[in-house]
Order: sequence, then structure tokens, then C-alpha cells
Amino acid sequence: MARRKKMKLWIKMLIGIVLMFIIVNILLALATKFLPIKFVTPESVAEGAEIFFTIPLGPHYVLPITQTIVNTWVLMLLIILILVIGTRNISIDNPGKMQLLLEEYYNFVVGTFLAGYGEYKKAFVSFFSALFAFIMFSNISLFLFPFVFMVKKTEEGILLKPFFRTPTADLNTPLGLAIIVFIIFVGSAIKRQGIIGYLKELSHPFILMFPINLISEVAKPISISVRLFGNMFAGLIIVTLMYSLNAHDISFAVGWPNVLQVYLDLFIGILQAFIFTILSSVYIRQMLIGENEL
Amino acid sequence: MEIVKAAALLAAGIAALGGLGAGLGQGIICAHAIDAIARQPEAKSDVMSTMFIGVAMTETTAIFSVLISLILIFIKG
Repeated sequence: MARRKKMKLWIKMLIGIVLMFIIVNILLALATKFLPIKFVTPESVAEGAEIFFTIPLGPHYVLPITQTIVNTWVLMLLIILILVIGTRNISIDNPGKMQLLLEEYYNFVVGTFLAGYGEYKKAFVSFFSALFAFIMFSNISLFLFPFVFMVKKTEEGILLKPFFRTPTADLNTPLGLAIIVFIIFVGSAIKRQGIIGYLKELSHPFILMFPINLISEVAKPISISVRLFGNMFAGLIIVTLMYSLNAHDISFAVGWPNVLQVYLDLFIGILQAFIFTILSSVYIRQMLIGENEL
Repeated sequence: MEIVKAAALLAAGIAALGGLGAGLGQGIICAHAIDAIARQPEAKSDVMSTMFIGVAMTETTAIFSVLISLILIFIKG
């Protein structure tokens, strides 16, 4: 009985969210009809993240601060806020809701990503929980805050742009995370068996296999990062295409793309965050503990 | 340079054929997972999590082809 009640509550919440989206979308469509407001087009999304400002570093290099970087700062602040609120009044007797949520998250991380880590469990729990939380919040950021707009003035009128552009739909973010994972697994292999032992393992059956094994090592971070990037970028493009449909000067961004966004951003985003984290955990475990002792 | 544009758009269409194999592979994965669950219903959660990982790995080829066609459309087309 309790389960059915919970299901009913979830269905009600989902219907409420979709209704809210439809109402806001209708308001936005009316606004584009009567006011000189334009929405973002798929071409400008495909071009890449917008550069807000640059910091000069020496004579030839500049450090561009893009939309992706600012978005990840906001998401990091959000995660820190959730952690601070969840761990503020810790108690065993009557734990709060946020504390229970964080405990459940800890159990999930330890049970899923750290199975078979043995004595290294304590050393890696913070890394994997941070990795999963960061990628998940980046993937669903556009779903969580779809109506946070940036206002920009152009010649044709006012251009409305969503503030959040999925940070993992920029190849730099997943590639950076994958390079961190690469450094960790190569470092743990060198720690377990030394540099000579690692080179021996790379040329395992005989010495001619060395370049092939080297390529397979380098392909691991590239494959996981490009998988995450491709999924999120394709989802972003499809959602933008749907939202920018026009019919008789009314922006056709009403209602139905939300269903698509629930699938593309929520389901695929959480699934891809899970896949990225579990694959990196498998790679690190192979190097840390060895294939024979699994 | 019209011919280059036309060739790029045509190539984008052809590249999207990579989704064919991924769809077949995902179907095979789901069929075998349902077989396994029907034979051993108590192992449902393990089978499901392994199936999701397999499905996402199989999807990679389709995602690569979508990426290639998007790059062709937006850069050359």
C-alpha cells in the first residue's frame, strides 16, 4: 500500500513538473509573438561555449573564461551547499532528511563503484563520490534550471539564451576528467609494481605487443570521454532543434519537447554519469589490485 | 565549392547508418537479458545493471556516427 502511495506521489510530481513547463513555455511563446525576443538557434549551440572574458597570460597566451567554466563553478557551489546543509546537524538518534540522503549516497558509492577495492576503499571513496556527483549535476543542469536566462541585446531585438549549457557537452570537461582518471590509474600501476614492472606488463606476451598495449592504454581515457561528450552533445542539439521550431512567427517551444528532455537529459545523463564512473573505477581497480586477484 | 557542401551533406547522411548496427546490438542485449531474468528472477538487479552498461557501450558506435555527421553538417555543410 505504501509503495502504491509513493508511486502516486511520484506520478503527481512528474505531471506537475510537465504542467509547469507547458505553462512557462506558452508564456514564452506569447512573449516571442508580441515582443522582439529571439531564442537561441542550433547553429550557435553547435559552435561551442561562449567566451565571457579572457585573462592574458604572458605575451602569446590568453586564458578564456567560457560559459562552461562559469557553469561548473555554479554547479560546484551547488554541490558544496548540499553537502554543507546535509552535514550541519549530524545525529544518530533523529537524522534529518538531507543526512539520510547523503548516507544513502555513500552506501551507493561504496557498494557500486568500490566493490573489490579492499584496503583502498577509504582512499578512493571521496574521489568517486565527487566524480559521480559532478558529472551527474553537469549532465542534468539544463533539465534542473531550464528557465535561467541570459539577456543579450542585438540589432534584431533581445536574444534570450539559457545560462546553463550542459558543461559535459564541451569536450574539454570530459577530457579533463578522463585525464585525471588516466593519471590515477597509471600512477597506481607504477606504485604497485614499479616502472620496470609496468613496462613488463605492457609488453606482456612478447615484446612486439608493446605498441599495441600502449595504444590500448591511451585509448581508455579517450573512449570514456568521447562517449560522455557525444551523448550529451547529441542530446543538447536535439533539444535545441525541438525548442527552436518556428511556426508563423510563434516560437513553437510549447510542451512536447519536455518529454524528450526527460529522456535525453535526465535518463541518459544519469546513465552516462554512472557509466563514466564505473568504467573509470574498473580501470583503476585493474591497475591497483591486479587482474589475477579480482 | 557547392560540390564539397553536397558531398559533406551526403556523407553526413551515410554516416548516420552507423546507428543500424547499434540498434541491432542493443536488441540482442535486451533479448538475452530478458532470457536471463526469466530463468533466474532473483538475479534481476545484477542482470539489469550489467545490461545497462552493455547497452551504453554498444551505443558508443551510434554516438560516434552521430558526432561525425554533426561535424560534417556544421563545419562543411
